[in-house]
Amino acid sequence: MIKYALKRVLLFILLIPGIIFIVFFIMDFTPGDPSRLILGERATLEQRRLFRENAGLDRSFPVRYASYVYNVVFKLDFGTSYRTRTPVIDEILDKLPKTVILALSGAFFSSLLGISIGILSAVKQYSRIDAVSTFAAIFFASIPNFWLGMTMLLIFSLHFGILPSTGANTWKHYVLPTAAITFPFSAEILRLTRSLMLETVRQDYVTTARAKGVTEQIIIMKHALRNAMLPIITSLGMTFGSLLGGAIITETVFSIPGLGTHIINAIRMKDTPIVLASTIVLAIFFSLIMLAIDVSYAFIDPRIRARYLK
Amino acid sequence: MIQTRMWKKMFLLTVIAVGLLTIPPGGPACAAEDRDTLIIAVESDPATFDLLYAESMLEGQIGNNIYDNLLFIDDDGNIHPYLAEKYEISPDGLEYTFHLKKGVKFHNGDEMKASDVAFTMEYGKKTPYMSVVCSNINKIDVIDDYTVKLTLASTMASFLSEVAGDQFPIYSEKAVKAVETYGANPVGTGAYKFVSRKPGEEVRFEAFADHFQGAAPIKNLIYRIIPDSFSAGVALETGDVDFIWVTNASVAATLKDNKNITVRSEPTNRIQFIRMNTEKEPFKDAKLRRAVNYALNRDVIVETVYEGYGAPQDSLAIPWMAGFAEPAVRYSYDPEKAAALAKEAGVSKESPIVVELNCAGPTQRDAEVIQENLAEIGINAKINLLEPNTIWTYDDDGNFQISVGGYYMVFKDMNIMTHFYDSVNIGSGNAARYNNPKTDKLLLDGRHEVDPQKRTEIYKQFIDIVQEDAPYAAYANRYVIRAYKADLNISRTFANGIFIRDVSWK
Repeated sequence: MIKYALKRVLLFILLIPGIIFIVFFIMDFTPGDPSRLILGERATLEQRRLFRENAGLDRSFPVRYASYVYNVVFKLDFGTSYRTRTPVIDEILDKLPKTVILALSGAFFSSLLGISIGILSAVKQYSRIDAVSTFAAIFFASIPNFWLGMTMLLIFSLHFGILPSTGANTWKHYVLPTAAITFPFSAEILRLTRSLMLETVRQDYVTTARAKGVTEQIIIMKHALRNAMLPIITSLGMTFGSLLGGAIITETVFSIPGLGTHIINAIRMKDTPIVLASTIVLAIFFSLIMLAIDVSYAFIDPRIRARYLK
Repeated sequence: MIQTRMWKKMFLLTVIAVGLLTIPPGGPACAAEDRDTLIIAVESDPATFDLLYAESMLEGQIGNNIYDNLLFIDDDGNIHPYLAEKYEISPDGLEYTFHLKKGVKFHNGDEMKASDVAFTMEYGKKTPYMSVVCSNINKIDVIDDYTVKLTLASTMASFLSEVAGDQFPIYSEKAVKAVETYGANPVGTGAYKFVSRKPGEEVRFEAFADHFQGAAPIKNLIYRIIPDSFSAGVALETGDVDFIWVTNASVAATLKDNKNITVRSEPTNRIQFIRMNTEKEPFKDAKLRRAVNYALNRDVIVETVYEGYGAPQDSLAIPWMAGFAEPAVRYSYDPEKAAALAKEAGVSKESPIVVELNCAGPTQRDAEVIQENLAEIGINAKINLLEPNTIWTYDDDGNFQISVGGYYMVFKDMNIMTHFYDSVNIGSGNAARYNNPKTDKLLLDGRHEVDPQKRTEIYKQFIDIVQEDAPYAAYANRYVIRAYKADLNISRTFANGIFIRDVSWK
C-alpha cells in the first residue's frame, strides 16, 4: 500500500518538468510581449529591451526552460512576478487557502446533499420526492453559475442584507459562494448517485440479502451504497480538483481573491512566472487528490485492497 | 387525501417564499457606517505605487493621494504653485527655478529638500512615464536646500503643465534608495500615507497628519478590489463600499434609481478610435481612410454602446489641450460622401473588400457597430476578438489592417500627438505607422515653440494635415462614470483624477 503510494508520488515528480514544458510552451507562443504590458504604453523601445534583458526574456526558449526547471527542482525557487516584482510563491500561498476553503466546503456540501438526496430518490423511485429532486437537479445543473451567484447576491445581500456581498474575511463571506458552487455540483452528484443506486439495488446480491431478512436500512447503506460508491468518489475528486482551478466565475462574482482569478489575471498580463507556479501547485494538489481517491478505493472495496496486498 | 395535503404544504411553502422576497429590504446589515473611512471599489489590483512605472489610470489616481507635485493644475486648467512656493522662468525659456516651500514633510518624517526634487528628475529619466519630459532636462542645479534650477536642452512649451500633471510626483531620495522594492513601499508628501496591502484584496491608506496643507478630513482610505462591475454595484448598494468606478454603463442605469446614491459622469480624456495600418492594403489609400471617417455613425455608438455616457469625437486632439487649433476638416456621419470616397479608392458595395478588424472584449460592441457602418461602403470587416495584449503585439508589429482601441490623453497638451503621429513611435504608440516628414517637423517645432500664438499656428498646420490624411478614425470621447453615496461631498471634477483630500462626508 505505502509502496504503491510512494511509487505514485515519484511518478508525479517526474511529471513536473512535463507540466512546466507545456505551460512554458503555450505562454511563449501566444502573442503578447510582457514588457509592453507591464511597462505600459508609454515605454520606449529601449526601456522595453532593458526590461526583457532584466527578466531574462532575451534568452532562447530551451535556455529559459532549462533554467526554470533547474530553479524549481533544485532550489524550490518559482521566480518573481514580472508585474509586482514579489516572489511568486508568496502570492500563491496568500491566495491558495481561500480557494481551498471554497473548494473543500463546496465539495463537502455537494456530496452531503447530492449523495443523501440521490439515495432517497433512488430508494423511492417514481415517488414525488424523486420527481422533485430530479427536476431540481436538472434545473441547477442547467442554469449558468454566474446567474445563480448574482441572483443570490441580489436576494441575500442586497434585499435582505444578511450576508456580505464581497470579500473573504469571515465565514459569512463564504456562505453565498459555497452555495453557488454546491447547487450545480450536488445536482451532478445526485444524478450519478441515483442512477448507480438504481443499478445496484437490482443486483442479485441485494435480492439475496433481502431474502435473508436483512433490514432495508442495512441493505441500502451496506450492500448497495458501498458498491455504488466508487464512481461517486471518483466524480467527487474530479469536482474538487476542478473547483481548485475552475471556480473563477464564483470567485469573480463574489470578489474572492482566490487562485483562479489570480491565474486568469496573470495569463492576461503575460506574467508567466505566476502562471507556471500556480499550475504546478494546482497540479500537485490535483495529483494528491487522485492518489487519495485511489487509496480510498482500497478502504471501500476489499477486492481492490486484496490486489494491493499481493 | 394524502395527495391534497402534500399539495397544500407545497402551496404554503411557495407563499412563504414569495412573501419573504416581497418584504421590504431590511437595510444593509454589513454596512460600514464609519465616517472616518472611505472605501473605494476598484476593478483591478494596482501593480505598483511607484508612479513612474505606473501602467494604468488606476495607479495614477491612487498615486495622486500619495504624492504631491511642485505645481498644481486646477479644474479650469490654471497652474498654481504647490510644493513650490513660486517659480521663475528665464527670458530664453530654458531655465526654470523653483523655490520650494519650507517644512514640507515626507511620510517618513523627513523634510522635503531641493535634493529630493533633483533626485526625482534624475530617477524620472529612466522611467517610461517621465522620460519624455525629463530627458529634455539638461542640467539640474541644487542652489540651496529650497531652490532648484532646471535647465532644458531646448524650449518646451508644455513643461509647466507636465510638471503639474500626475506624472511628476516628488519622491524622497532616501526612501527610494532604502529599499529594493520601492513600488511596494511608497513614500511621498501627499495627503495619504501607505499602510498595508493585500494583493487582490485591498490597499489601505491613512491620512497623513503632517501634510503641508493640514490633515485630510477622512482618516482611513481603503481601495477594495472587486473585479466584477455588477458585484461592485451591489456592494455600493449594500454599503460594503462607498464609492465605485462604473465600467459598465448598464450598472449606472440601475444605480440611478437609488436615491442614496449619486451617479456622476463627466467627459474626460479617454478617446476611442480606429487605427488603420497605413503601410498595408487597403488602408494605404488615404481616400479609403477618409471614407471610413465619414462612414462611422458616431452618435449610434455613443447612444447604444455607451448608453449616452459619452460624446462623438472625430479627432484625437481635444479642444482643452494646450496648443489646440480647430482643424479645417471635420468628420461626421455622411454615408454618401463615404461611399463616393470609397468608390474613388475602388471599393463599393458592388465590389466589396474583406478586411480584418481587431478588437478586445471591452470594445467588442463598438466593433460591431463599426462593422455595420463599414459594410455600407463595401468594406466587409471580419471581427477578431482578441486579448488586449495580443492586439498590442499585432499593432506594434504592424501585423493588422484595422483595430479598435482607446487611449487616456494623459498630457493636456498637443505635444501628446507625438505619441500617435511621430514616425519615431512606429512600433509603439504610432500604431497606424503614419510616416510623414512634414508632420514630424511640425511636431518638433510645436514642442519647442514657447509663444502660444505661434504654437497654435504650428499645430493648426499639423492638425489640418493629419485630419486630411486620417490614419486614425476617432469616434468617441468615453465619459467616466462614478457612483458614490449621496452623503459624500465631492466638488471637484474627475477629469484630473480624484483627490481624496478634497472629499468629505456631509
